[in-house]
Parts: sequence; structure tokens; C-alpha cells
Amino acid sequence: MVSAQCVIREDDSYQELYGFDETLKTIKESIDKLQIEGRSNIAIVSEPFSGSSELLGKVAGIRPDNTTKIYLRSLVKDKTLFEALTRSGGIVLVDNCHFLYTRKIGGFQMLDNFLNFIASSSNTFITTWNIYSWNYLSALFPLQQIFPLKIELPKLNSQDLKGMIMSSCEWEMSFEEEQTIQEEKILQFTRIPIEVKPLKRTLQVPVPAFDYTALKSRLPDRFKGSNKKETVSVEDKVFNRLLDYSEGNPGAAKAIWMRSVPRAEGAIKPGDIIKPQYKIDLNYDQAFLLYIILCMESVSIEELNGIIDPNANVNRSVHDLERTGLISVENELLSIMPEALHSIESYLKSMRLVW
Amino acid sequence: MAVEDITSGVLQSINASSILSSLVVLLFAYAASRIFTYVLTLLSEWKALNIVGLNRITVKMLIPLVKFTFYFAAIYYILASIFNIASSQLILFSGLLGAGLGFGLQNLFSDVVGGILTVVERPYQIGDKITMGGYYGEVKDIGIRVTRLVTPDDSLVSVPNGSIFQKSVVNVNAGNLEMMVVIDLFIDPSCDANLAMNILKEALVTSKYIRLSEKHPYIILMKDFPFYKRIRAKGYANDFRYEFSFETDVTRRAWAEFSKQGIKPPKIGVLERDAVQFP
Repeated sequence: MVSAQCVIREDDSYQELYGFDETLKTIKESIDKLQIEGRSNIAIVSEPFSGSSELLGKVAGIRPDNTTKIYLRSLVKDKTLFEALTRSGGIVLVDNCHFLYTRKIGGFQMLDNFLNFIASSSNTFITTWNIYSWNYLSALFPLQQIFPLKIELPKLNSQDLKGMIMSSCEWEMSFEEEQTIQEEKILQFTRIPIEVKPLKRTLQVPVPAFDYTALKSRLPDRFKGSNKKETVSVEDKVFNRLLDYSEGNPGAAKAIWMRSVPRAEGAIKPGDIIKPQYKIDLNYDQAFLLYIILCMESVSIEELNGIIDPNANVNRSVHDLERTGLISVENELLSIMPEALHSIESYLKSMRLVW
Repeated sequence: MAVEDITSGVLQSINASSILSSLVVLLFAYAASRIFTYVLTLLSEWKALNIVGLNRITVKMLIPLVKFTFYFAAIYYILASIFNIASSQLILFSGLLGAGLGFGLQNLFSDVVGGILTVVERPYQIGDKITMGGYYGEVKDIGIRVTRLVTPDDSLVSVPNGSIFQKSVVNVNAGNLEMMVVIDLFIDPSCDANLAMNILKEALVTSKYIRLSEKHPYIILMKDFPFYKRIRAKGYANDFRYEFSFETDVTRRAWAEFSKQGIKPPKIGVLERDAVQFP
């Protein structure tokens, strides 16, 4: 059930861009310098769901008459891309360049051809990349040379998130403090099973877990990096919490908002914003599969079969990942759940698959 | 005179109570070091360490330090408090004890000194993969007398610490979790070596176990022998525990592709006996 207060519009076409003003300015300056300094290809590198495609849409509007837009939506398997590239001139925008490779033997041919095409072309290329793919590919290809200007999309701040959420709401929002102030525990203990081999027993050992958001909220103002004693409005408290939970990723913030707001009855309270929490316990093959989905953003099971070890059961792993709420399967395409993005990233860092 | 004082002092304080107290202190030191070792080992396997930029070896390197501290504190306590030896006497006593041990228990003394040097100089740490005393394996424990290694076939080998004075120690990862793995494939000289190199490169860089970054590059090499060509890949395994899985993964997928592309192994009997060495 969705509350009557705020529903995010699914259609993004008429949404404003938030938090990318500086990035857009840098790209515009770079385009303006083309006549003087010659071409300089640009790579826009970002996390999934960070709005790079929307940004590219805005970039297309800078020189609309001299710009070709190529939006890649799935793994590129044929040469139609190169036909389109050959026809294009001036400024060429290519979105989702991570769809040009597959992590398997023979899976880099398309990307190699694409990079060769760029190197031999007189056009200017503005491309977007998944950051995890970029980090992997930059160890294999001289991406930094081909794209001298690399722009990492910034994380949104709470005001940007507020603007983004409020602009996409169909009704007026209202906010209020919690009726009863729920004292959030700064320190909580979770029990983890530890096998004690000499005793042949498994003990449930309490492990402390700090809630940094709760800790931060209780710190005196002078420890929060500001000398002025500021009174934070309820509205800001809600969006600060959204910022903490989404780490400034617009897609994650929207997903958290969508999950949280239907819980609100009446006005929205800071406590309504739900922190996404997952219990992730995967074997190495499953973790690698999750990493591939994170890098590709959208991939089919059939495509995964060529990448993942044939001994690993892809279907079963996909089912497990879907059950734990980490990925979604839509039209046979697998993608990361936006709200799970940072939990997945942390887990894959702990597995040493992301660094 | 001083020697006689110490000897008579020590002899006078030896009785059932002091021996029992000493045993209790040693037992306490043993138990405390085991508990700390256990806790640190558990902590070292905590995956979240990687998120904060630490790894299991950084935690495990504390184990021998803690162990040695407990044992030396216990010995000091026994000598100073139970046998009532003053600091100046203690130094003299240590010298005498050292000389006695040097003559009588040379090997034991050498192993203990080797253990202390290992903790101070850290030529290897718990968790490292090393070759020591002719054995290759992961260091499981650095004790007062011996270093315990687990070999790839899961045998526990106790190598005396004193062996660091006689033979070189090879540490393949030096405190890092990443480890360079060298993978050799041998092909028939009539086959396309460039194609084989490209396939091996892609098998290497697409492996789920590889660590690729500016600090962890890869390289593919080729060497021509009279009856075969050796294609060698060097790349870093994500974690040295995956050393053999990494090698297997790359070799298996490279050979599957070789066979698709018509790249054949050398004819039987032409591989030199020493061409493949382990490790």
C-alpha cells in the first residue's frame, strides 16, 4: 500500500538533475574548449543508479545539433554499434560502456574494437562507465590515455536528495517528530555462531555493533563539525537519515524512500526511514556472481553461464541472491537492488572482490 | 661472590611452595597466551577487516608478540617475585643461564633465539606462505622453539626456529594477502604461440581469483625450447589461499580454449623432466 503523501514518479523524463551542476559545468567547459585545445574524450565513472544516463541526457542538450547519442542497454554482441559510430560526427555520447565487454575468454573483442575506433576517430567521445567495471578494465586497457578527462560522479548531499525526492512527489509532504522519542541504541549486540573445535560445540558469541547514525545524533553540536548551535528541522532530519542510509546514491535513496514512506501514516517522521539491512553469507562463486552483476548492472542468466564456472550452479545461486533481496530478476535480466548496493559493496570488499 | 649469593639465594627459595607457584604462573602464561592466540585467530578471519584496509596477517602478526610477552613476563615474575632475585642479580643470572644453555643445550638455545629474532625482525609472520627448512606452506604458528607450517597437502610441519641461521627463508607474500602465481603451459612448437599467449592472458585476467590493479600487474611470457614452447603467465591471486585454485582455474579454461582453437600440447616424451618445478 502506498501512502497518499508521496509517490515517486517512475517516469524520469521530466525530472530535474540534482547535485551534478559542477560536473555539468566541467563537461560544458571541456566541450567549449574543443575548438581551441582539440578533442579530449571524457569518461564519466559512477556507481550504479547514480544518474549517469540522466546526466548524459543533459550533456546532449549542450550542443544538440552536433551530438550523437548512443545508449547501450544490454550486452553488445553485434557490429551495429560500429555502424552507428561510423555515421556519427562531432560529439558522440555513449552510455553504459560496460556493456562492451564480458569477463570471459574472447569477451574483450568488442571493447578493444571500440577503443581502437575512438583512438582513430576525430570525434569527441563522452562515455559513461560503471565504476567497478572501470576499475577492472583500467588494469587491462589504457583507458586513462584514451579518456584523459575522467569524472567521478559526486554523491548527493541531503539537500540534493531532498530536492530530488520532493520534486518527484505528486502530493504535498508533511513532516513531524516522533511522538515518543525512541531511544535508538548506540551499541547493540548480535550473536554470531563460533565453532569451538576442542569442545566440539558452537557457541553464540555476542558481537558489538555500533549504530553510528544514532551515535552521531546524540553527539553535542560542537562535535558534529559545526561551531554554531544549529536547530535541525524535522524535514532535514528525515533527509539526513536518508543520506546516511543511501550514502548519497540517488537510486538507492529513491528505493529506500519508496520502501519507507508507505509505512508512514500521516506525516513522515525520521524513524519512518528504514535502514536496508541484509544478512549476506555467500560462497566464493556466489560472491563472484554478485560481483559480475554489480559490474554489468544488467545481465541475463544466459550471459552469466559463459562467465561463471560451469561447476557452479548459476540458477541456484541466482535464486539464493534473489531470495535474500540482493538482486532482482526482471524480463530474465538480473540487476542489483538499489537499496542493497552499499551492503553488497561492503560484502564484496570483505571478500576481496572489490577494492 | 655475587654468583655464590645468587646461587645460595635461589637454592634457599626453592621449596614446594615456590615450585608450585612457578608452575601456576607458567600455566597462567600458557593459558593466557592460548586464549589470546585463539581470540586473535578468530579476529583475523573476520571478513570485515578487509573493509577497513586490514587483513588477517596484520592481526596474526600480533600472536607471537603476545605469546613471547606472556612467557617472558612469567619468567621474569618467577625469578623476581618467587625466587626474590634482584634486577642486577637477574641480569647476572640471565648471563649465567645463557652461558649454561649455550654449552649444554645449544640447539634449543639457538631455536629460542631464532624465535625471538623472528618476532623482532619479522622475516615471516603467521599467515605468510614461506619455504623454510626445505618445506613450503602457510605459517600457522611461531612458537618459542619451532615454527609450524601447513603444507599444501595439509601436513603440519614443525621447523626449528634455529634453521633461519642456517638456511634462507623464502617468503612469497611478505605480509600481504595477494600472491604472485606463475602458471606454465607447454604447447607444440608448430602451434600459433601468439594466439596461445592471448588465450592464456584472457584466461588469467578473467579468473575469479585474480587481483588486478596498478600494484598487481600481470605478464605473459613465451620461451622457445627445442621441442616445445612454454607460455608463462604471472598474475596475483586475490588471496594466497587461492593459489592452487587460481592456477587450476586459469589452466583449465586456457586448455579448453586451446583445444577449441587447435592448439596442441607437445608430443609425448619431449618435456624435460625439470621443466615443471614445484612450487
